[in-house]
Amino acid sequence: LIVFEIAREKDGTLVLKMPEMQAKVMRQLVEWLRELLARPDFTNSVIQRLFPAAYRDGKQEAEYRALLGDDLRRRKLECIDHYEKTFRESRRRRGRVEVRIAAEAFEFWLGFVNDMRLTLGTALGIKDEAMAAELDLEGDQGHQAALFHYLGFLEEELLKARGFPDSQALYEEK
Amino acid sequence: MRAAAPPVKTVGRPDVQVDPGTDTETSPDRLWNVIVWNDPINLMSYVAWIFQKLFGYSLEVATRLMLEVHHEGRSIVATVEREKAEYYVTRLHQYGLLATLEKQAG
Repeated sequence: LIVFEIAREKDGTLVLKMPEMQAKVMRQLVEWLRELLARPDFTNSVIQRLFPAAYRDGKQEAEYRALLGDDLRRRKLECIDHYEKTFRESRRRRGRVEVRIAAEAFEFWLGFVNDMRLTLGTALGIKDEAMAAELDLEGDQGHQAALFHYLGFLEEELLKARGFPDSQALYEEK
Repeated sequence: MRAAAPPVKTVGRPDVQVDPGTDTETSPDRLWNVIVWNDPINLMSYVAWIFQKLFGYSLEVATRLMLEVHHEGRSIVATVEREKAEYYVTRLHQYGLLATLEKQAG
């Protein structure tokens, strides 16, 4: 059951309120991604998705990677740090957890949520939009599938809270 | 954090950013396309938001490019010098999009 609320303050800070159990699950998400990023295994499909190629030509790609170094991995870890910090600084009020996402932390926070969706979606073997919409919530990977949908809804709501239209509205604009 | 100034020059595709310092009619071999590929996981709203944020596009242009990615499988989202194209691709990868760069066809 999705029962979070998002409010926007005058300075652009988003205040996300959720039950303790949801906050606990959200906080624990970082461990999976952090472990994957600790020693990236480039034969792992999730890592391949998180570190896509910039060039189709192998030689150009190798040169680009050499120049890029560890930047992409460090950026993803930085997103995790920002995300975790908001939970460390969260408050409990009336049985709910309040997470404050400052305007300058929004991009990092959303970046982590999106990386987590990419991680879950790739691990679930999502190959097309229809498959993403019809994930089995009762099967062996039901927990991951539920989290995938939850994070998608959260991402939409966070963008809406920042004044951005949701996917359905954008699609219907065509 | 905006990465680049809004489009100041348009060639061929008026909706896509072109490097303002490059004369595209006399030196097309200097330009590279930044291409974003469709994927089944990223949300439409998130992709359009990134196009706005990174390239400074209007919501209308960002939405049109996002829908082109969705329907056509890919979209050229910027045509710029190679160094800047690499920068954009790196940023798009940071955001979790599938992006590549390739030299603009002569």
